[in-house]
Amino acid sequence: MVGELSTSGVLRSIRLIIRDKSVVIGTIMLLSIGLLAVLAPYINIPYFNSMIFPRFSPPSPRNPLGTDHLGRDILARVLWGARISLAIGICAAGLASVIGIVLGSISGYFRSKVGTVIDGLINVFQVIPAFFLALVLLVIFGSSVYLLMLVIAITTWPMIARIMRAQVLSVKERLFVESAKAIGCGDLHILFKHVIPHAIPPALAYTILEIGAAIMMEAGLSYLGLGDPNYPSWGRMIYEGQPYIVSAPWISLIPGAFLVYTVIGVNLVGNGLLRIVNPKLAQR
Amino acid sequence: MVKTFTLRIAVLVTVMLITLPLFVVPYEVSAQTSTGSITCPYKGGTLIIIHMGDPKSFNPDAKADDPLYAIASNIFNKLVTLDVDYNVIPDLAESWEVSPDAKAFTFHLRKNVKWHDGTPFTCKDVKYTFEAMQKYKGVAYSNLKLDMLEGITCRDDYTAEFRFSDSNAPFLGFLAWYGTFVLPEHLYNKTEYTDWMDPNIPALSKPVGTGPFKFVEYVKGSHVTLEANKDYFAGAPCIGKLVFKIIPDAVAAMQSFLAGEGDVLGVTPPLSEIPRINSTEGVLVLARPMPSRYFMAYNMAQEKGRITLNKDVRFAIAYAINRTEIVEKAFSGYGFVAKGMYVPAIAWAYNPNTQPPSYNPAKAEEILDRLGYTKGPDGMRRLPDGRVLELKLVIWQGAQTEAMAQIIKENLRKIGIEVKIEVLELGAFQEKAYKDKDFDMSITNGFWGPDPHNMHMRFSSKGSHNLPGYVNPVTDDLLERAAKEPDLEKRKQLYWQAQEEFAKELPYFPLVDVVGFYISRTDWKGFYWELPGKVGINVYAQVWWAKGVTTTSLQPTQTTQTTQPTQTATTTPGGGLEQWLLPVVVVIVVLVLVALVLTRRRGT
Amino acid sequence: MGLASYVAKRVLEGFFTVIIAVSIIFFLVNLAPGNPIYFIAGDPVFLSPAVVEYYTKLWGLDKPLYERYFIYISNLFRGELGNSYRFGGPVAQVIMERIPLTLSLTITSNILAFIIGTFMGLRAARSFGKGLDSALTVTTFFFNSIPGFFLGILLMLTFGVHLRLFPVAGLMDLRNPKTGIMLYLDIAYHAFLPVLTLTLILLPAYFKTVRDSAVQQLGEDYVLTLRAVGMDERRIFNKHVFRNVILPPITLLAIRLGFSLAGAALIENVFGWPGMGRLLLDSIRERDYPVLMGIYFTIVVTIVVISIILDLIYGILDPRIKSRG
Repeated sequence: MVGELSTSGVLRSIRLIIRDKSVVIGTIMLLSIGLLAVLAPYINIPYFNSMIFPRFSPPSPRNPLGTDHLGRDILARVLWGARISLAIGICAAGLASVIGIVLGSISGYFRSKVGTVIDGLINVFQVIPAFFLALVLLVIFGSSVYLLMLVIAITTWPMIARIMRAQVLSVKERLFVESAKAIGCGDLHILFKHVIPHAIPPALAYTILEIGAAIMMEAGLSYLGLGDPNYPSWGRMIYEGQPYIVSAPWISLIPGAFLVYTVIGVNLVGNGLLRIVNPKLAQR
Repeated sequence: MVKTFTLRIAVLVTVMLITLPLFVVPYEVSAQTSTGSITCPYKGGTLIIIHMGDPKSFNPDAKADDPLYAIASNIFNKLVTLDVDYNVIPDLAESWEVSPDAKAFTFHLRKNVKWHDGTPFTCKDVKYTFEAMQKYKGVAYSNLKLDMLEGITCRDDYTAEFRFSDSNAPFLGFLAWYGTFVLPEHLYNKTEYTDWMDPNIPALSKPVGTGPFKFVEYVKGSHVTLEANKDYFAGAPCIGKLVFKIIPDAVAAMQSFLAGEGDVLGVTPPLSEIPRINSTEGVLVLARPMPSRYFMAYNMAQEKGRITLNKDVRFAIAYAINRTEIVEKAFSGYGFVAKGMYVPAIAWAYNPNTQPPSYNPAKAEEILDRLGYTKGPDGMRRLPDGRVLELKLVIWQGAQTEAMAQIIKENLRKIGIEVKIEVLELGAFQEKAYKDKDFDMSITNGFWGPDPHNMHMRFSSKGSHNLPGYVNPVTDDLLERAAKEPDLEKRKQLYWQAQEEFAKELPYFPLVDVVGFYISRTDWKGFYWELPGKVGINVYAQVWWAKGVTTTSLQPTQTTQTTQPTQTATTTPGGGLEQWLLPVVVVIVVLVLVALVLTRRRGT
Repeated sequence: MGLASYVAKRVLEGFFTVIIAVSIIFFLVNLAPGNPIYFIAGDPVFLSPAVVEYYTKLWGLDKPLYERYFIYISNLFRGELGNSYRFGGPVAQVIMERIPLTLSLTITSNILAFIIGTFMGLRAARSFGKGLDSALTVTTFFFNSIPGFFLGILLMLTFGVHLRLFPVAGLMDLRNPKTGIMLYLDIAYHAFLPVLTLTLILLPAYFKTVRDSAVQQLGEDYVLTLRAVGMDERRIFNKHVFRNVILPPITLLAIRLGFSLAGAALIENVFGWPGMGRLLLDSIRERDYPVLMGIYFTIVVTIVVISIILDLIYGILDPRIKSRG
């Protein structure tokens, strides 16, 4: 069984992963961006908010990626932006995944009242368009990086919850769970020790895909002016360059290119992993 | 919203007038067809305005509705209106008298005015309009001080008298401004309607006014079309049709205009694009200063530990802010570093002797050092309890406000103050900034006219929306007295004193005075910004097609609508020529080609 | 009998889902900071207490929240969505005016994406592992990873601003107004870029679904048999494989159509398309709660109804579900 988290399973998975070309390429793409993000404070670039350069200068030796409408170095902002965008993507997806995995397993395992309530909740969130809900929340409560993460997580967890629920349902039926019950293990013990470890891999792979979705969602919300103005996330940079898109397109297009590059990397890795852990789910 | 209030003013007419017309067309005055006071060297054509948004309704007096304001100005009339130089000029009222105590206002109405449905306009329309405004709390209710309105009397069909319980010196200025269009009583005032916004009122979907243009159609999200009112009291407008093409996005609007899809760009483009637009062939850009100002309010609401309550801190911050940099970067140079504590555009009330602090970061550091906010190892200053000195700057969403906030953040970082920007969309801004005073500093933009009474609304403790939450008995008293003072010279003195006090206390810091842009194609002449004193702002009654004059001889009919101007050189693909012209051209080209081929054959 | 009770159960479930979803948004919106009355006066400087008082009464905002909630829900049952704060007119009318414009974008692009995506998916599977397959996979992967609004900006810059092939904004040509069939063509011309953007964004999911399941079919016995018989590869795909892989993309299309009322807000915003998305954004910004709630209600009901219909179809197709009900 590929989905298991046993030592041999892990080894086999790693072997499978390394053999998957798309995962390797995606990982390299992500590592390159991640490295830039981590190194941003140590590279010799201007402070991301200092406005010491001429405005609207196209890429040149002094500013390799040009400057923006306030005379800030775009290279510096894009690298710092990598930190912000990745942080938002990872935290939002992580939070969504925690909520989704916990609620999904409870709902899948306990087919009692608790399960029904969570089912209902998942159904309700399933019919609320996520972007719409995020929009309302941000317009209403104002915007900050933390709220962005929270809002994206709140609106995207049901997908993971559904996958987790389906997985738990199928794992529950398996023989070893029955036998654990037979020898008198408690429900919680079975859930955490036996069911979740077997059910979790697809949800985790999906979480990685969710990072890309979260980065894109942040960009979309920022594009409507709902990003955090204190930090240069890529979405925020696209938004700020929007008025100058015709005469100084690099202000928006460069952070956009970084964003697309990163999301492609995330999707390559996520899809590859999903294919490995659960060939059926990957078809979604 | 505030920033887009279409009001233009110019007591100081400055600025650039650079044209690169494609054709310099000397037109002949002999072609003039003059009716009433509108003179038209050429008649007919469709003028397309690129417009900022969808109107919310067609009742121009009910709610703030900037997108409607420009449209309504062409359908309706006010009693008096403003010209582009911001003078009060006659509209439906030919003349008026003000009592010495500024409590009674008498208007003498025009006699030859008809509503678009043919009903004559009389004093009862005026009476209805302002009584409805009072009853249903129209948008001008507060400005006009209708709570003090004792009554409107129609002395005869053409004389209306307004009486107030107390003197209302700013009345005329506000009457000429916003939300004061006269509505048709015979269409609105029926017992079956619950109020003036009742969806059953036909005039709310198909407005009927007295203005130069009649309503034709409105396609939501696309356009509003008006046609010339041949019975307009000042004479039929020169153009046949007036179309407002709705494109809210500034960049898209600019592109659409540059592609030749419009004749007037009514949406302010990104300011950095102004030079490019101006250098486009056949486009004319005109700029005028406006009495609209961006300013930063300090939080003055009494609360323990609020750092902005310290006058020295307010001055230090002001010294650290580089307003020249703001004008250059956030406004691409199209604006002025704000002068004085009131807007110079309203010259009589502006006190030039009181100026806010100018950029001097060294002085700012000196003040902060003296106050004991010492710098930590990271270069940021610390409060006595060791926390970093961090201030919250609350703004509303907008390209300019956000750029300004970024610059201020960077300016203050340099003197060791951390700034946390919070961008709110307007609804939340009203709540958090105006009501809850949840900020240290807050930037907003607003129209500071049409009367200096505006200062009372903005900075008096009794003002309706006092952003800083400022309480000062001295200025409160000065502004209160000024509002009731009918004598202009004495009013001026009171406002001057108030400005002196504001400059001393600095509850707000004026940042940038705004420039308004008028962008049009050179094919057209007679815009309201070219005709101060003759036509109200936003009214296109006198616009005529300048290029048409040279071609008049080709077009025997001088009546409206049938003729349509062709486009300038920059055309959209697929468009440009008149529909009926295209087949003709095609036929001619085909004939010529056939003829050529035939002759060639014969030749060889 | 089984089917009837199953349907009844699903409808009941759907009903509660709608009620709960609407309630969540109702409280969220009404507890939010920002008073719709502020927008009456434009600049709040020109707003006096008397005006606030008047509109508070007019809109019933003086009543406690729970009372407003019950009024709203009971109005919903009577099919009333209330009056818009901004426009004054009935919400249903405001929304109905915008629906055709949005649907014309979303339905067109969904169907286009479905057709093109399915075709491309089959084609890729046919040359599984070859150059064409990888080229199509990589291309769709790219469009799957680019935010729709950003793609919209790129297309607008390229085709609208630089090549000037298509208009950058607006609904129709006002310089030379068209009538009849020409008007429709004109609107279609103006809709080209937004439809293209949406189609490209929606396409990858269809492509991937079809390609992956078609590739899976390749290993099935019947394909091998048909190949052994010597049937033309194209024929195998277009007749036999097609029949077996078409269901998932149809399901996807149905679900997407359910969301199509809400789906295009950002792209509508890029191209200034006056659809539901823009109405939604403006309503949030200007706190037009009745319209906001109305849009929301419409979207949720559409999604629920479509999902019930889908379930029903599956119920008929798959007897196991029927017996479960």
